[in-house]
Amino acid sequence: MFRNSFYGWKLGAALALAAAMTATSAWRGESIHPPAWRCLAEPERWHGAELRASGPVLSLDRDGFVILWQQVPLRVLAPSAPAKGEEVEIVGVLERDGPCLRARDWRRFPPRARYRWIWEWVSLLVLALILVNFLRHFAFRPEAVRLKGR
Amino acid sequence: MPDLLTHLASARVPGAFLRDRRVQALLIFGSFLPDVVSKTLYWAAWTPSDFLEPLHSPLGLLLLSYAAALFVEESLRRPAFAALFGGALLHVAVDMLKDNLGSGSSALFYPFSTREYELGWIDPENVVLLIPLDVAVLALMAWLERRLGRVPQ
Repeated sequence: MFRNSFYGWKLGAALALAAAMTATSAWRGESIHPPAWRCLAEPERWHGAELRASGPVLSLDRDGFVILWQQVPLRVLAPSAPAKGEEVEIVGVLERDGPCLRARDWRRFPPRARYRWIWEWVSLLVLALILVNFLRHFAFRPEAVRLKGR
Repeated sequence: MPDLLTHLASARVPGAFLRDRRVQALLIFGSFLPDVVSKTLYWAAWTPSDFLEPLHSPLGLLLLSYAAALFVEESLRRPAFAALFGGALLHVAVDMLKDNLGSGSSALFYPFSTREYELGWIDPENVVLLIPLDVAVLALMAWLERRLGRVPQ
């Protein structure tokens, strides 16, 4: 399994299976993470689908509030409401009437969310350092993976 | 999860006990593998996120680790695979600590189930608070390595 025999076949099979998994994921993923425009254009089809939405609160009403999710206004039914303009994240079930999202749970983005860029830059720095460390221990030889004629 | 410092700190804990520095480097690279592949596909190749579910599932990572291990020289391939896959599983375990309001980030049983799991202990927007803890873990592991005599050759 780890020997050089049938190297190309083994590498090809592993990559092909991984690619097949990602392709089937995209096919099944429609029901996991449908985009906003699709849900709101076809609410009958997505009735009962669990969605995760986030965005700023545009307005408040008696039963909930409206957020801007992926450039689309989405009405959210929730027992409690944030303040207008706050950034929120919601998990809920889409209902065809409205259409609207009946929130199972929601939360405000904490004020420190604006410091996200710090750990994104730290992550990039860490990645660069790890790659440098990796290259201290390994050298890439392209001929090792080049297919040869018989 | 873009917080690679936490993934590095978590991989350094088992890594400190490995004698072979090459295997240690592969373990750490394995702990970055799910994000390196999925974020590259997402940001560089504009791959929709639906395609990327298997890259945080054990079976998908098994295939990816095996493919990556084949690029390593034959004599080191078996431990390389173990290190890469172990690191990748560690990544999934750390990601499971996040709180995504119950919607999870790790599809543990993909392709048999698309349900995503999480423990919900850490708000993903608060991971900036983990930076001092990560630095402390990294320092502790560096000290432990010196105590165990696992200093770089």
